[in-house]
Amino acid sequence: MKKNSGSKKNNRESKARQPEKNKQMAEKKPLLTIAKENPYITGFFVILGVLLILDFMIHKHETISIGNVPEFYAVYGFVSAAALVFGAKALRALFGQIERR
Amino acid sequence: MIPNIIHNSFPPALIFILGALLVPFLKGRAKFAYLLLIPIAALAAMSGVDINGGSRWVLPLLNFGPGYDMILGRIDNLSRIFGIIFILISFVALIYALNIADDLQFVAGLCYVGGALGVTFAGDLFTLYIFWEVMAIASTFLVLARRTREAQAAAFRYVMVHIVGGLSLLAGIVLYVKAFNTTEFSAIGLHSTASWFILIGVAVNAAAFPLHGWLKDAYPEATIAGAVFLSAFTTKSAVYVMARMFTGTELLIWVGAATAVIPVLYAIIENDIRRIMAYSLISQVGFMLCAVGIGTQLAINGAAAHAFCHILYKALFFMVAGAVIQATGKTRLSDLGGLYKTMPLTCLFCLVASASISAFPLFNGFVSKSMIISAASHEHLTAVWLILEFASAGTLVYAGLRIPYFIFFGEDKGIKAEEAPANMLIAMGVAAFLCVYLAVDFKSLYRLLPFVAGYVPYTFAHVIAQLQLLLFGALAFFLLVRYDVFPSPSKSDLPDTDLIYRKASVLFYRAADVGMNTLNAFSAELFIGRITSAVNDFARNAPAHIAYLCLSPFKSVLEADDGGAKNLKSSIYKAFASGSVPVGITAALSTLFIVILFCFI
Repeated sequence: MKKNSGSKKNNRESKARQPEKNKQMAEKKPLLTIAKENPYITGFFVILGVLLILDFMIHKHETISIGNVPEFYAVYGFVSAAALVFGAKALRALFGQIERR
Repeated sequence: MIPNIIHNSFPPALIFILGALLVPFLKGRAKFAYLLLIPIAALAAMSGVDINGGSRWVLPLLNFGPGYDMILGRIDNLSRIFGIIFILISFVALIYALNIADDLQFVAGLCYVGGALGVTFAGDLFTLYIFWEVMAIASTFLVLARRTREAQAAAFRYVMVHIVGGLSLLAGIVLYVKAFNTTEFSAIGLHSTASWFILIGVAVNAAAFPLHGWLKDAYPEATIAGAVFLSAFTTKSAVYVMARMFTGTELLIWVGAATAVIPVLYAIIENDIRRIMAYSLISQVGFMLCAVGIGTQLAINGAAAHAFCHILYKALFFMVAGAVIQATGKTRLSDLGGLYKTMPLTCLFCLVASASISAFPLFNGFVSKSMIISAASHEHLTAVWLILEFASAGTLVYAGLRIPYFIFFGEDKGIKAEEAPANMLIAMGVAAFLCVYLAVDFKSLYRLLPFVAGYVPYTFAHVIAQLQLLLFGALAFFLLVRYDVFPSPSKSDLPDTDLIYRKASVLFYRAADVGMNTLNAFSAELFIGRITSAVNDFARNAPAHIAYLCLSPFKSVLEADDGGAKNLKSSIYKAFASGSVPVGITAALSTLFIVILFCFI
């Protein structure tokens, strides 16, 4: 019984924490605002922009034709990284968690 | 024979193995100097060999003929580059390990390097097999030396897997020698049962998917220095054997591609630092296997160059992980964070390793991995090319960003830690320097490659393409972290292919337990309870039984003699029980015995 009441208490606490978390999420500044405040992030976005522009200046002669599509590598890099992360999440969901230690 | 060996100096493999025997007798600085002298002596022995001058250290031990010599020194364009990097990384690993007061690790480590060099320079299959097993046994002690319960269990599983792999290799070798009457260690392709056995045996050591489970199981349980040794030799010597025997085997392209991608998924959610690195190692070996499968000169150059570069940055990664574990006592990403303040140099070396494995321009992964991907492109293998680029972007996520971010940056956990000891920093510094140096002066690396390399990694288009792939991958990482989509490190172990034999071994144990114990109980009941008592009963009255048996054909006559009043059987048994056997029976039996002798002899 005590255990149950404890878990109810935890539930209540977690419900109380939920809005806090949402609030924190809502408080997250937009990326452009962060980019303006943080010079490193500004630099990162500038480099990305320069790379996108440079892509049009290159005379591509890839053996595999898809490599000649404009901005292919930028899109493929972004999509691959995101796909692998979601794939990893799916893998974990699929296997479930087996406590090791 | 022996003077011949001395005359030609010792083979590098034996310098390491015999050199290891003296280690326990030395102490202090003499030991340090001695340990560092061993790789230098091995390199000197190796560099004294003319690579166009045929095989050295040939021992006609088997005495079956010219095709059966044991060759300890086949140093050619392919084996040379592997030999150099093995010796080089052993030197770095020994510097890293110098402050360890555990001779077991030094002896095991040196024998392990000796085994790897023996495999690399073997010119025949028997020599290959012998050093293959030396490597398996020596490396097991690098896991055992951690002296924990988990390490002991992992070492047991590790050695069992390698025994199975070794037996497969041996079976293949025996079948091959029987079929072709030679022990020559050269290209065999995948054309016979023997070659399948050999391929499976080598694939176990190469941690090729789906035979990779042992690596992520054992390496994270090894000692801090042991993991650095382990990261370099077993898998890369297997890649060398693959390149020697199975060049252009199409199966390897797909096995390699799967090995390059699947571990990335695990590495993204794994929590144990060294397990992430183990998955990363498997993935990078996948690139090399794929290159061996493609089999063109560019691809084989790529496999050799990538093995060289990979050994450097992977050893650097394991050294960084070891330094962090030693300084903090923590092995999980979720327990770490903010260490760049207290371990700035280790952080810097980690960033170099991350940039190298991610193949950023000006880091060595770029000049080697590009060759493999270009080889796939040149052969118009579109799907393989896409898979390898996909895995490259994934490598950036888990190794290029996730590891440094969670260990050295991210949330500061306020962990008290000190910078790594000087010898560890020197070792990491040497490896980090080489990671950058080989990317800048890539021609010095390309000169060591098996084939003349006209490949140019630094073209404007290639650099921009690579930067786009990586930096937009990084953008995806940061966005996913920022919006809490990136999965937090897993708190538990994820099932992998090693689960199959781990579960299977438990099932086998239970099946053996139930099956054998049931058989045991049944045998006890049958042999001790029934047969023995039956034999005992028979033996107790054996003379009576035999007498009755012999006289039973005359039963009607003997019983009729007495007018049918007496029963022959009961009278015989009574007579034997009371010791009053009639003379007639004895005489009858003796007569019968003589008749039998007369008839049959």
